[in-house]
Amino acid sequence: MKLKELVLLLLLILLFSLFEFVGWFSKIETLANKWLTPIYGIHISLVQKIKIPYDFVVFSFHKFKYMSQLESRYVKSLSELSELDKLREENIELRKLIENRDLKIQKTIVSAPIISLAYPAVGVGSNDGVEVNDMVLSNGMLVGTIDKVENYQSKVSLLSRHRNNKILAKTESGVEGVIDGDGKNVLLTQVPRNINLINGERVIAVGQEGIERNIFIGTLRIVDNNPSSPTQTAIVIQEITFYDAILLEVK
Amino acid sequence: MLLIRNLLVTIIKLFLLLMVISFEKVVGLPMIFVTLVLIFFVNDRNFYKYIYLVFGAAFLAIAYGLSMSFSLILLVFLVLAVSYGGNIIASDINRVLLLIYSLIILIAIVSQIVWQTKVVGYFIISSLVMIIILMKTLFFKHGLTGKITGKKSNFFR
Repeated sequence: MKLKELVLLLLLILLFSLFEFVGWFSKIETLANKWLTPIYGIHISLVQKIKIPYDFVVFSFHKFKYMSQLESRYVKSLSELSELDKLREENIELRKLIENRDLKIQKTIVSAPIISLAYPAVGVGSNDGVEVNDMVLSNGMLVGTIDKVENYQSKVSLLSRHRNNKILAKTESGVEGVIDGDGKNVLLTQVPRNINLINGERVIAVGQEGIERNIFIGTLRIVDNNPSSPTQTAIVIQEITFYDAILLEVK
Repeated sequence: MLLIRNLLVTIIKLFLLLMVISFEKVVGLPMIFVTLVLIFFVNDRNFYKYIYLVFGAAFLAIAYGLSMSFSLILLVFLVLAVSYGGNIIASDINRVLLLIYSLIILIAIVSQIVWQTKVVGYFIISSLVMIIILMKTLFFKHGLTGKITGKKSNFFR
């Protein structure tokens, strides 16, 4: 490389620095980025097409892991079911023993829901023995509590709505929290940040006045929370909502 | 006629550089782009070789968010170090590879590229492509590495 070329290169650098200092390059940059955006788009779609085999392998691997987890959970559930069957039989026997003593254990009233978005209610009231704070269940799953009782109908306070009387709940692994609603979803709130919540776990009631212990509420779905918050919140999925139910139980 | 031909070739090469940099912007590091700029600069004997440097610097700056003068300094440093670095690193292959890798790492640091698995994967693939390009163009054709020209596989030794 000759000295002339070296000087030329240095002059180019000086010229570039000067143009940059004056600010001419910023306009060029803006314009060039505008033109380059569709080219980037073409390249992104090209890369995505090239990546299809890789993505397929990664996807298959994840699915395989997911299936393995599902299998282990299924086996665990089966073992729990057999245990539950045993308990149910035991329970029936105990119930028979107690009923033979002419004792009434529990009242259960079955009713159809009165669906109104502003006023969820059930078609049973004080005449049927319904009381405030009674549980409203759909297929054994807690969907709300009785808020106000009239003669022939009762207003239901749904779990998905903001509630004044909070329900204490816990997950299968024993993590405790408070059930609240944001108007749309049922939430498990006030869970300390240092505790790990597991996706798909069942959420059940801890038991308090008016709410039986171990009543099923839903399954857990972890949501991203604000990391600066001291507590975390998760959505509780209810497979059947109040609005989907054909019949409801009031206990 | 020759002037028009040269101009046409230059435009095609610049378009190629633009396509390569926009592709590498999507996948990660400008490995092949830097190699191509170096090859175009070293291979061309006429005035157009400076156009590759100037436009190359502009493309690099636009795609990777660097300052124009800084990217020009980087490319000028690369060509000068390749030309004059023989006293420090005698082997031409080692010198070119070391300078290109250093430049890429510098660009990655300055433009804050995240070293994800995909970026590293492309880095490895583009390294192989770069070596093939260098073997087929710069070292083979231009004879920068007098020692390996004519021998088949001692590049990987």
